[in-house]
Amino acid sequence: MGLSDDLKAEVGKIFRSRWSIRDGEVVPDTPDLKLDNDGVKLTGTVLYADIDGSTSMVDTKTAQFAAEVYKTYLLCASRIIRSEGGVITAYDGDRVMAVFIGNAKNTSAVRCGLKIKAAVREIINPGIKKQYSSDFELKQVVGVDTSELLVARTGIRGANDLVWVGRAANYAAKLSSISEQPYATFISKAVYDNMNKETKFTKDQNMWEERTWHGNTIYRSSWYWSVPN
Amino acid sequence: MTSVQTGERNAPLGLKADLESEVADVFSARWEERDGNVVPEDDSVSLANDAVKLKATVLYADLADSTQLVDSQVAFVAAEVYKTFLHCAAKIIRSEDGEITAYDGDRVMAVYIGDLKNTRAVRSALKINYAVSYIVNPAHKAVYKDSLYTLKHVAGVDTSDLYVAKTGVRGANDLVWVGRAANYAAKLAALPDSYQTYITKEVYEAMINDVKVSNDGRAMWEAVRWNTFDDRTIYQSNWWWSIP
Repeated sequence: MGLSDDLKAEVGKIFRSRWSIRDGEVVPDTPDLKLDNDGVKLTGTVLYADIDGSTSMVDTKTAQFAAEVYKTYLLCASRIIRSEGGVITAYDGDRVMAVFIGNAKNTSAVRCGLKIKAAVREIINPGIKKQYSSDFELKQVVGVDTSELLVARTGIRGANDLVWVGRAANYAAKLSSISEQPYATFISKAVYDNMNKETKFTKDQNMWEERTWHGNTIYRSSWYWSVPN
Repeated sequence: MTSVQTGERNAPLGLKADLESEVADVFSARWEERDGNVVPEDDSVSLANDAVKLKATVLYADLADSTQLVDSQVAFVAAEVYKTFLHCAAKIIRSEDGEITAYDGDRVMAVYIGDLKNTRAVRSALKINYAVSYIVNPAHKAVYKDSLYTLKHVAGVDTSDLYVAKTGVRGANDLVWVGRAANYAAKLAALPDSYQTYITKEVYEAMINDVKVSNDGRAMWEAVRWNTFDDRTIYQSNWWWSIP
């Protein structure tokens, strides 16, 4: 069978097959799902953490330096995500996607965003300065949204081939591409309304500013939350 | 504007100290480099500052406007569209000897090395355009007769030296691809879907005539300024290459 016939057969099958859908209580991984139209539905909060200005970094710095910055950023982001109970669900070049579920999912994801900002400020940038005496400062953005999500397998790679369908997966990625430094955390209204007070206020001051973005209300913050010693 | 937030802390003690020492290790460790002649897998690069250098061509294929897809379609139909698009892209990439190196939601990244890497990557992009128009969209319409949705996508291709290192973020699939082509191809794939393929001048100049000019002698590419970036010349096309 030629490639064209093969693709037609597979594509037709995907559109015709019935779905078997169940509610999820944990963040699914590839082995939890079958290759057919098998899906898990869950209410989740999605976080994307993305380097801001990676193209200019790659254009102006050595590959080794850029690789070190990527590595340290992804290392800190992923460790902080795990410390807040998030699960890393995709990882692509210079950005990482994580999913949080359960009662405190919005608060945990937002605190995670604020802690990643702190890690860049208090750990990575001082590390760059110390090693290279360079004024280069890593900038990054975290986007957070929450919604129902449908998780299915695509079958295009052995591992890590899940597709996350739902508003939160798309919007969190888009929010993490807003470049408005020093604002480094952008969250949807649904997240803001559902997170707990400790991630909204410090003393009596609100850490968030409301604004409109493509017709939707979102909130942005330039605050950070220190990573515990 | 920025100030320290203190409050309830429930991360394990010592995370900061831990991260500080690991970050310092990454910045101070020497790099071990070697030239690669295959696309590395994550088990062929070690976690220390170990890197493989290659000359490679990168393709990103991205579902255009997937936010709108998720807003307007029921989740399972959206999932079917994602699946069929990624499925076709993956098979076409493999048929042109590209390696799928990352995959994230609604986009796929592939790397091509060796002879004709630019031609193979560009031909993949043109074939993905064919698959969307002649395989995925007709199949979608055949099942969902009243659907007004038409899948759109954009592919971007660039070529450069690439530096491949491991990040240690996940067990598998945790390579970081550092180099112009990885960034530019992703940026090109985010350009407007009025054209389905965008490539850099370096790719255009290196690829063979077959993918530049159609069978009846028409130019398949238009040179334009990349005005949302740095005004450099890039090439755009809405041609397709039929799949055997």
